[in-house]
Amino acid sequence: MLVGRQLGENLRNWLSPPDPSTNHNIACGAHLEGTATWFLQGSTFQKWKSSSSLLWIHGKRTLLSCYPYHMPDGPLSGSWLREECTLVRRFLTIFVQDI
Amino acid sequence: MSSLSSTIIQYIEALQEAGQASMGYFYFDFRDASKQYRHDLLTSLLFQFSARSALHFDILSHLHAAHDGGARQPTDQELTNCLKKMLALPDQRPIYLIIDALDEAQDTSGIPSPREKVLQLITELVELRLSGLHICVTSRPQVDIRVVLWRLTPLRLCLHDQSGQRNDIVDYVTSVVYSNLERIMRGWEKEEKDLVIETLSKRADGM
Repeated sequence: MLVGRQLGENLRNWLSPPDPSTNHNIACGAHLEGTATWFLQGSTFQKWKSSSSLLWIHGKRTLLSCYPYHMPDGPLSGSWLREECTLVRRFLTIFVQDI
Repeated sequence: MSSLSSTIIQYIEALQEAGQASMGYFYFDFRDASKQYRHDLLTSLLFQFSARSALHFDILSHLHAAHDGGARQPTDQELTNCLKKMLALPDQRPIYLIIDALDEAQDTSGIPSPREKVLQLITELVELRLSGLHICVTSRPQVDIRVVLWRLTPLRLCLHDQSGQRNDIVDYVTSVVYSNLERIMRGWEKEEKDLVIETLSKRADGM
C-alpha cells in the first residue's frame, strides 16, 4: 500500500494535475439549496442520463459578469443612472466577490 | 452557468457514492492559468479516475513507467490515449464527464488554438461512441465552439429559453438581498431592495 501511495505521489509530481474542486466548491457556494431543480427534472437532463450522448448547455457565463454588457450605448439618462447604475452597481460592488 | 454545472456534479456525485456512476469533471477558468489548456483537462481527469479505481490507476502508472518513471513528459496525444483506455475499460458503471465553461479555455492564436484542441478532444471522445459515456459541456456560444458542438450533438439546452432558470435567479437575488447578508444590506430601503431584485432578474441572461 505504501508503494502504491508513493507511486501516486510520484505520478502527481510528474503531471501536476490542476484541482477543479476549488472551482466546484465556489460554484456550490454561489447557489441555493434546491436551485436548478427545474433542470434536473426537465426532459433534456433525463434524455442525457438515459442515452450515451453529449449535452451542450449554452448561455452567458453568469448573471453578474454579463451585467455590464447591458449598459446602454448612448448617454445615460438621469433615471437610468438613478435606478440601475447607482443601486445595482452598489449591489454588485458588495456581492460580486461572492458569486 | 457554473452553478448549473455544480448542480449536475453534485447530482452525479450522489450516484457515484451509490455505486451507480463514475465521474470526472473540470472547470475551465480564465482567472487560473493552470485551468485553460487541454493538457490541464486531461491530467485532471486522469487523476480523478485513477484515484477511485485500481484498474484506472494501473493505466496511468503504465504511462508513467513508459516515460522512464516520469523522466519525460507525455504528449497530449499520449494522455488522450490513456484517457480513452480508461473510458473503454469493460464492465464499468456509466461514466459522466462534466466540463464547465469551455469558452474560458485559452483562445490565443495558434493553429489549432488551445481552445480548438479542447474541442478536438471532445470530438474524439464523442466519436468513440462508447455506450455508457455521458459528456456534458457548458459554455457561452462562441462561434468556434458553436460550430463544433452543434454538429456533434442534437442535445442542446439554451439557458435563455428556460423560465425555471429565471425563477432560480430571482430566488437567489432575493435571498441575498433579504436574508443571507442582511447585515451588509442594512440601511437599504425596501423599495431599493426590490428594485435590485427586479432589475437583476430582468437582466438575467444566464447563471
